Order: sequence, then C-alpha cells, then structure tokens
Amino acid sequence: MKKEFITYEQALALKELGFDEMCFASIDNFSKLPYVPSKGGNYLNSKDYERGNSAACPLKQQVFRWFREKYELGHTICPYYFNASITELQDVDDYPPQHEVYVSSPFTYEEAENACIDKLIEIAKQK
Amino acid sequence: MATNSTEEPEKDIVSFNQALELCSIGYDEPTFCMYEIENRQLCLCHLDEEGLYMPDKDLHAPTKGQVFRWFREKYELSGFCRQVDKKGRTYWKIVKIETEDKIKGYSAFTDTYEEAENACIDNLIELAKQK
Repeated sequence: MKKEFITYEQALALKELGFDEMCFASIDNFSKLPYVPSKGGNYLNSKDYERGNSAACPLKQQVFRWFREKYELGHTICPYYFNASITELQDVDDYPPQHEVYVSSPFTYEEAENACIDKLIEIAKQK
Repeated sequence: MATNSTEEPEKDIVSFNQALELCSIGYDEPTFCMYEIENRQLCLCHLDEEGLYMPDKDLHAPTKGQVFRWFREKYELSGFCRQVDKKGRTYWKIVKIETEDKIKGYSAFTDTYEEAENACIDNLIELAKQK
C-alpha cells in the first residue's frame, strides 16, 4: 500500500507549507516508508505524528485534494503518456494557466503522481 | 479485528455499497480500513507486522486511490477526474490504458470532485461486471 502514500521528502515539504490534516500514517527519515500504527490504528492529526524525525504521511489523494482546496491547483495524470498537467483553477473554466510535468522513461503511473506532487509543492512555495 | 471508529476519513475511502460491489467482482487487496457488515460502520484495522490487514468476515474498505489503481492494473481501465473551476465543478471519464480509447465520459459536470470520483468508481464497477 506504500504506493498510496507520499515520500518522506514530500512529507517534510508539505509540513513546511502548513499541511495539518488527519492522516493514517507517519514516515521517518530512516526507513523512509510509511508506517501505519499496527495496534489500534488511528486517524490522527498531523501534529500527533511529529516526533523526532517522523512526519505525518498523507495519502497522495489527500495531498491532491489539499492542493485543490487550499491553493486552487487542480491536476490530471495521463495514464497513457504518464505526463501530468496542473491547472490553476479560475472562477470559470476559461483557458486557465497550465503547468505540464513530464516524467522521463522508464516511467510508471506512480512516478508521474510523485512528479506531479513535487511540482505542486514547487508552485505552492512560490505563492 | 476492528478498532476504534474513524473520525472523518470517508472522503478517502469508498462507500459501503461500493465496497460490497468491489467484493463481488473480486477485490481482495489488503486495506487499513474495513466495514463491519452488520452495522456498515467504517473502522480502522489492527494491522499485521507488514502493516497489512486482510479482512475475513468483514468487508475490505479500500481508499479511492487503491481502487483506481486496481482498475488500472487488473482491467487496464483508467478513471480520470478533472476539476475545472474554483467552485468545484468536475467531470470524469474512463479510458482504456493501452489504446487511450475513451470508454465512458466525458460526463456531465458534478458539483464536487468527490461526486465525480464516486460516479467514476461506480462506472468502473459496472464496466468490470460486464467483462
């Protein structure tokens, strides 16, 4: 299920951007793998996961939703070419600014998702 | 075994009815949430040492991301949602990955992204049933 979660570096960057949603998992810089508490799994606030080198590790779908809601940045991923496009959402759908993200070969859908999240973080940092 | 009820992960997890339908078409991937069949309660799970949970008498409750991935990998069908404005208007479509042929959609606009995701998953399930 680790494909569903973001990377450690992305988790840190999101924390800097103020991501503080409820999460299923944490991630640390040793294993760099998402860790879902094994006993009495909890859906915890991000701050509850921030101990030592650990950070909250949201699902990719949570991150995409957060960027839509907080930064008004939409995205789509093409499953054929594995490229992603990020759209700055406007009041109306009228040729909104687009950012294209291309993943070099060899590629997978997950690499395209990760590249898209990296680009969303980069755009958000500039806002 | 279930633990405490969840607070608000419903946006990320498929509905009870979708979970039932997915079960009927063979979805059996590990999840970290499940539905208690008796009362439709969404719960987090005790996980094994590898961080996985395979429900036996309960119903797998995958994330929507897991479900879209499952359809890509098992049926080579990709569900795609695109929000087009700040108000949340969204459409969905389903394409065959290998050829990029459109199978269903472009849908009418929904009011929210979540509505489009759910409609897209419902249609992926219908397509899978026809196979």
